[in-house]
Amino acid sequence: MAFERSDQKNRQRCCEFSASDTLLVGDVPIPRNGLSHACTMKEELLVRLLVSERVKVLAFIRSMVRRYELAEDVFQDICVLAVEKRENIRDEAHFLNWLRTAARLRSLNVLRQQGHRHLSLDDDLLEVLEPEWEGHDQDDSEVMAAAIRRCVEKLAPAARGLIHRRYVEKAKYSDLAKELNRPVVSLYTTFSRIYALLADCISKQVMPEGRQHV
Amino acid sequence: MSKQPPSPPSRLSEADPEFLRLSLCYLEGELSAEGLEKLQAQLRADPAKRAAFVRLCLTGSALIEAVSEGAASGTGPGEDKTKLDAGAAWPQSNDLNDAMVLPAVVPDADPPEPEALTIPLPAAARTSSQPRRRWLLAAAILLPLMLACGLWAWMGSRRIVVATLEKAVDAQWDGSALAAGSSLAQGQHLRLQSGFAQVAFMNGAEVVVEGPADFEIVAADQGALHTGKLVAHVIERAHGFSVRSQNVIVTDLGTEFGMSADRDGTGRVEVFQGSVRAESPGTEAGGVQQQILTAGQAAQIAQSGITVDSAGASPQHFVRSLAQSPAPLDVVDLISGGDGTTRRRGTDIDSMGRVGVFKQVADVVGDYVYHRITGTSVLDGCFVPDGGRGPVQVDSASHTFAFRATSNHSLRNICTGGPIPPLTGQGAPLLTQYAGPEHSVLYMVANRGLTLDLAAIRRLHPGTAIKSFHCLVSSIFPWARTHARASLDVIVDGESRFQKTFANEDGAFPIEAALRPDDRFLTIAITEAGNSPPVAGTMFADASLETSNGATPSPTTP
Repeated sequence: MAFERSDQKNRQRCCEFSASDTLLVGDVPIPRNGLSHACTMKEELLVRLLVSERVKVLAFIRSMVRRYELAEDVFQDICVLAVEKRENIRDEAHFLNWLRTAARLRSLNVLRQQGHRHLSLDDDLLEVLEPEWEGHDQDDSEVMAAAIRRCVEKLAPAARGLIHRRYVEKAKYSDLAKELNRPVVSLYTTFSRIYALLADCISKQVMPEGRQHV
Repeated sequence: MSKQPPSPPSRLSEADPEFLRLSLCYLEGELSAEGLEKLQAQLRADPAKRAAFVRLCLTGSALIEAVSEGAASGTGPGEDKTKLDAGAAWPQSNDLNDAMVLPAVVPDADPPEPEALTIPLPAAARTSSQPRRRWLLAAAILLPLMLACGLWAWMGSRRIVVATLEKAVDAQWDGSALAAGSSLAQGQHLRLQSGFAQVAFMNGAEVVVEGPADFEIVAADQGALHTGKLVAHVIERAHGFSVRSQNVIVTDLGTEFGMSADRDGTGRVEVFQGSVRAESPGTEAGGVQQQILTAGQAAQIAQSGITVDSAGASPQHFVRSLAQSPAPLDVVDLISGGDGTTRRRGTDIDSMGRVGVFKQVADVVGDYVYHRITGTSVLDGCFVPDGGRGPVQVDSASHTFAFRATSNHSLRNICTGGPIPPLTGQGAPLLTQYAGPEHSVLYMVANRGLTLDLAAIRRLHPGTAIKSFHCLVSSIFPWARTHARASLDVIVDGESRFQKTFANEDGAFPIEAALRPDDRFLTIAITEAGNSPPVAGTMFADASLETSNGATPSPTTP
């Protein structure tokens, strides 16, 4: 993958970019102040961030590519890219910015390559959703993960069974609907309510005093 | 469209069900073109729906990750518990509907669930998937990097986050510094050289650790104090929270308790609210020893077992909160052994500096000695002021103050009380409105002085600045000597901060003495004025130390 800088004059400057600076990491153009040649983020921090941000970044990617399996593929591509280009990543804040930018551009590229761009949210809507994602920047993925494990335990056995069939055994909604002799649309309603209850439960677990995140 | 700020969160379960269904269909890749158009229209029109959509995405991602991890590992602390066991949980009938699934979902406010941080699955369910294999492939790419960084052990021993570092004040860490908000995993140690850290466990318990200390996060409802001091606040839903040290396991039965541990295994447990069960291996011959301690009780812990300490619990032994609230500190509570928030009352201080509950004495003769008060950290000492022989020592740092000459006699002990009694005759009418149970009184007869250690009080409230001393003062002359007069001095480190001579008929008056961050000793002294005999009793109503958020929490970035 190509790694280029449009303005070589700035190569010597640490942590500073002019308005014209643009990086290409693979097929992902990184805006100015995203990366710096002279400032290198430690590998340990890089790996830690990739792991700790995984849940949030996967959610962000999934909001575009929809299927979780495809979201995982995109995320893995970005992980590899980040490791390859680690020398150019400066610090945590810039890396997190880079991560979301890279995730967005990579996701849209994948959709275009598959001819599925029209099945995803429009560009202007992705832009409008951006502040909502930024509002979760401080959420700790690991805390969320621990919280949801506890919340799943609170579900009724039948609800846990549904989750098991869908996400562990990979049963399709249509198959589940047949098994249960229910319309698919009703099953989606059931799942969306389970999702909502879990989201509220996580909020309480993470912020027990009424402050809510996810 | 231009960017807008994120919408305030609300309960997702109260969101439009049709919108949630559309969103989920979209995320599952099964939304029709018409459905997508409808979904996008709703998202464009409604900020709350955009917030809900993002939360739905995050929840889905967290759910799938958690379930996948459980499937991949198939192990966990709750292996024997029913989790996603499809065989057990899957309804056998064909009439599954929302009424079967959702009303059984335990509401958020229900009692705490048993600890189980992974989701074990039946063996049959542990199937690998293509994405999972791809993740392993990516891991293989990362592996050399991880090995180079010595991170394999870190990644291999998966962190299970069970607590959060809520706050750190003046914290000096032994090793890597932790910032407020850091997640804390099972097995992680908080090693403080000095300062304080407040940890919130996921079961709702909160622990304030005071350095130097080594505190280990054991589980979502358990900690281990290897050395140092802590106070645990355990809310109702977190009952059962326990802290162990070398020689004791303290289990909460609904409480607030303090605990200390030394390297040699000795320590102390003090209960401030509720009760705890303290268990010790005891002597080799004696087997397990168990002791229930209730509010106000304390026990010494040693290798030989648990010994109840008749001295009882003292809030002044521990820092109970890192809340930097500007709430005033109750001086009477401090004098009575509290930390300024516990509303303790009823302590006397005699002329020799002894603290307790004593019979009142009729006559006190000064000995020109500053008497240190021991047994309570916030009281420095007391004295009988008589300037007839020159400046009088007013604190243990040997600061002196030039009082006027007095008879060197006084009456009664310095005493503290609860509600202010209704006053008659010579009493100031203003004080009668302070007669409720929420008030306090400090009573001193003329020619007495009492000194508080402001540094000790600050230590009880890390990060809080003491701004001023306040109270309402009134003469209480028991024998209707209407012309009796007294002089009040508020002295800080030997320097006058407030002075007023007053007569019985003057009624009550408020006083305020500003305090600076480096002020150490606060002295309150009453002396006879003019030709008055030493019967000029003075009542300090609702004496308090006003506070503010004085210090910035000091967690440092890693």
